[in-house]
Amino acid sequence: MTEFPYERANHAEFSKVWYLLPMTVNALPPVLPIRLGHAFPNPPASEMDWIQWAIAFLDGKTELDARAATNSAVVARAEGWLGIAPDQRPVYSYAGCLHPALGRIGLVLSTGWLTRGLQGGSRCDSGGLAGGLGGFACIGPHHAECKAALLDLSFAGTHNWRDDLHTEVSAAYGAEVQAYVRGDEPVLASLDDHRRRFVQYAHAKGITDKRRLWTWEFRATSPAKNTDVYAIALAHEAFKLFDELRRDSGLDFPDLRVISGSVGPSAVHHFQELEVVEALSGAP
Amino acid sequence: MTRVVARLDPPSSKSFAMSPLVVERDGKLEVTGFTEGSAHRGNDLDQNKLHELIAAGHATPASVETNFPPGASLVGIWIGRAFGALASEIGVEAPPLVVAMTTSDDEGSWGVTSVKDAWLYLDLWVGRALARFVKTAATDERRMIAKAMRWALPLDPRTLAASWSSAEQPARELQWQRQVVRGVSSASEQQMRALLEQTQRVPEPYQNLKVVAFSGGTGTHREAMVRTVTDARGWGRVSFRDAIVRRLAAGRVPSKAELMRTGQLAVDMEAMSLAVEVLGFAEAQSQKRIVAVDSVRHSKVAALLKWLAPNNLSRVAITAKTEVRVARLRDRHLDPDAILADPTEKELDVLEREADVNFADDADPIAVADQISALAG
Repeated sequence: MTEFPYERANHAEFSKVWYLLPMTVNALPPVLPIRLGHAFPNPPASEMDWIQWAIAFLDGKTELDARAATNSAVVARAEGWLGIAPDQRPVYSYAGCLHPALGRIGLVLSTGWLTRGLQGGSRCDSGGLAGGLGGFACIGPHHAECKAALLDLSFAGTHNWRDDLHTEVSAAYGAEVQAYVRGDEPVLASLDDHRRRFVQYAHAKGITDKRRLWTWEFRATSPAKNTDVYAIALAHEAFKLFDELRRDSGLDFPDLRVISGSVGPSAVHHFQELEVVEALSGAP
Repeated sequence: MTRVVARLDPPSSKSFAMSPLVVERDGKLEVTGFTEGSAHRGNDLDQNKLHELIAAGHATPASVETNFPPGASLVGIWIGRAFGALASEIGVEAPPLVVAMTTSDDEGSWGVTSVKDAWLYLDLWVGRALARFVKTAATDERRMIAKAMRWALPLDPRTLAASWSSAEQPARELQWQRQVVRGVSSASEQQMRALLEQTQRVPEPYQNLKVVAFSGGTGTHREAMVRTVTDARGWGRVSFRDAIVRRLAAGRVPSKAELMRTGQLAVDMEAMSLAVEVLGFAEAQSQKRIVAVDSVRHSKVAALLKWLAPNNLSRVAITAKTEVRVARLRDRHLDPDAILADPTEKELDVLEREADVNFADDADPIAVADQISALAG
């Protein structure tokens, strides 16, 4: 295989070098430099539709509006508990996380987007909690305690979420914002009773998909625009389609960071994970 | 038994691709084919999440049983129909897919293989495409080659070099590459130029070889014939059998049954690796006028050899009457029914039909050598 010196970093390399990243200082900066993730697995869609949509979105021809939920029943339940009217559904994003994990397209968005309109947020995945999914299953989805937990873990309006998230990440990860973005488990003592219970339940049941138990969710009332985008992450085959469409349409997107998946002798990188972590951790 | 139930990030008809797979083992879903760094993305995939991915077009359902050993790192290898057509148009044929459980539809063909083999397919094709690219002067043709390379390995340094070198606006292309590939900088122009120049200087693999592939079943005395002919003429000799023996534990002589079982598994899981390994040993003897590649037992493996060495491969089959073979097998205390029914023996008729020339087991080795010499040119 022919290699340039800039052979792409794999996970092992990442673990060796990530502490050199500029974000890793002895204390978090006063404003948490985190970005928001929004991934695309939502039905109904054909693969080319979403690639075309991404091109149009990045070109400023369309905006990122609320989309049909993947698991509509549990999302509707959560939104009902949070007082969100069905005709005022928000646009979801996650602090430092491209969720769901296997989506082929992910957007890394500036938190500046939220200043245009924020319904609220939750300190976990609201739909997962309302549906009693995974580690949330320790509270039955139809139990009153479930609704109470969601309301305890949620805030409405703009609130002072930056300070709260900053405080939580500092307590849970010390100086390492990347640890939060990577999905490392937080120090349990730093979590509230609800989420500590969810994590302990996940441990007991051997559930490995735990980050939805503590990753912050935001619900924007205003659509995201192309100017909110820092980077687009594309799985390898999605990148091929995106690249051809971009070339055919003569578009450059000169300020866009593209994080593509790739294949190599060690198999498939869904995305360049190091670059995803850096982008979501606020790399300039 | 492992069942492949879906392919992730499904490729288009225009693509030549390696795909992660969702497999079901002991009733549980697992994602295979991700690097260590991306493996976490497949954690706790369940049927509901898989259905969501399929409904959204981020995965394609499949239903394929494999006999690969547990823990094997499997991927899907895909050659789209449009990609195959483009590859033919630019004169760099797509390789034949010699992988387990190949499935074809209107969009393309795919099968299950090891990560190592899937990478070889892509890597060898891109290498060949770049060799074609540097020999091509016509701008339109160079752009088509670069485009085809982007549908295989878009971020590979060879593809980046071809795309940059054939771009209408190279500076604009380089800017795009800087946005996508970490480490690309203005200094990369020099590296890309050097890569293209080096490709022009270095001959493609196996181009200096004259290869004669021998097939023939157990009991045809094929191996003895190959040995006699190559010794008499001073030709080189390599064998798929030896490659299989190398895969087995060292320091002992494997049984016939063990060889056949391991050989079939190797063809199912890593036919490309096997062919490249054998041709690599052949290339080490490229100073010889001809190198015999013995013990080709599958038509698809012969097709792979032909793809790897397209201009200089001849095929020879050694034949013997069935009753003669049965008697010889009995003399070796082997069970003729079991041997003749083995998957490694089943394609011998096809191999005989496909061969450039067939020789009976009792043919005069000198006459055989003369004919092969004429055939190889």
